[in-house]
Amino acid sequence: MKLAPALNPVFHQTLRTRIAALLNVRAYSFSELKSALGVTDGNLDAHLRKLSSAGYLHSRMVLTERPKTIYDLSPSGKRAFADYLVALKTIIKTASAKRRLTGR
Amino acid sequence: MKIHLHITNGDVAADALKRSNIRGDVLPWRDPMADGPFPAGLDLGATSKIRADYLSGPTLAHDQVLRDFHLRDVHLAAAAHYEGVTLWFEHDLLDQLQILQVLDWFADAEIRPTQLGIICVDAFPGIQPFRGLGQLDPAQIATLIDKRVPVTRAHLELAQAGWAAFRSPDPREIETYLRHDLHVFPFMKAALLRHLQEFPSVSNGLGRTDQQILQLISDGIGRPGRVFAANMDLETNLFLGDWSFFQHIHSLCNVRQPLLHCDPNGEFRSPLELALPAAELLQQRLSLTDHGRRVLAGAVDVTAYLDFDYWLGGVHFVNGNPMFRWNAAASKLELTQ
Repeated sequence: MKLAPALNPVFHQTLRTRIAALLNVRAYSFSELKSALGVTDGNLDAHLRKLSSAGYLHSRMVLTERPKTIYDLSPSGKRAFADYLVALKTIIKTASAKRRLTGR
Repeated sequence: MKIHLHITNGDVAADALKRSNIRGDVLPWRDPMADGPFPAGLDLGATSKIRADYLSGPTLAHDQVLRDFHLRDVHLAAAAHYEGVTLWFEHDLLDQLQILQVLDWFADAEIRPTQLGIICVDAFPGIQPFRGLGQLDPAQIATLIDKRVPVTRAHLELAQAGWAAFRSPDPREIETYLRHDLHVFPFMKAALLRHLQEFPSVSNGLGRTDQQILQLISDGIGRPGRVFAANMDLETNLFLGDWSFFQHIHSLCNVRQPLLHCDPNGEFRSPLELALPAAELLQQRLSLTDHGRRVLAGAVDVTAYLDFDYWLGGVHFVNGNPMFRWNAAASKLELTQ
């Protein structure tokens, strides 16, 4: 039987999956992320730190009316998140195939 | 991870790298290190906390600055995940200090087999004057990859010694450091010498930037933006960014016995300050007070008027304490009472 692929633990956490899904599309400021996800500062801080400690986060300071930092996935983060999505899809496909096989 | 990490001095160079054909993750080392405290004996995390305290204010919220330092530091700690790490820096003081801080960290880090390299330049063909990597477009910055050299044990040991000297409360350690063979850091001596010139002078107590500011205003340049531009022209290499420069004006103007007066309201408001109407910014004109004229003439020491409480690297200047001063004629520090 084919083993299910390992899931990257950095992304395999509810909030970090959602953060990565957002940052995979475009850059977000901290307040934009906080409002999109409905989380506290401390919670978001901790999960951004986890992403950065894997090298998955890029940041850029932009000089708007008030200087702010925006975040997106780094190239290694984008690659790792793409791998994570492939692994998830494989697991889902495998699980669905087993279900069809057993008819349950 | 078969990917590279590039560490550079700030967002402009980082953006050029991200848009270039150089592959990898990019980490901007965002800190105007020529200004403010770097006390001795603290690790990177504790130093970042102190830097966040210093750099935050009305325009930069403390939690935002601290968060970005934390994110930077944990990304650096991931260096061992990369196949290689390259430092991209230029010749000025800010970058030389960043090189010292980053390599000091790497000297104690176990990152093998990650390959560590450095690119450090003071010129680029066709760009005159060359002030830094931020002037280069993505295609130009990518060509510098050919200048990458491996970081050796000599780089790491000299970086540790230099970083310790910069953070020492006794700046004579910098003078001692400058007597080392620093050929692996070809721009370090000039940069650290410029740092020492920021110490209070033996003649009137002004550091070089404050002396230049007073002189430019005495010569008739009154608009803060123009003083900033004219001061930049007095520097051989890029020295202070706008935030740091306007902090200097603020400390000369918005104090109990100011050396500068700012029309129309007396107090200077930084162009970087939030909610400063453009009209008010354009109206601001700087001039010397009587105190400023006396200090500039060398008739009175600036400590007679200003309450010193500021840091340069590891040195804390406070009125009433013995103070290291810069003797420009002898090009050396002197300890004064």
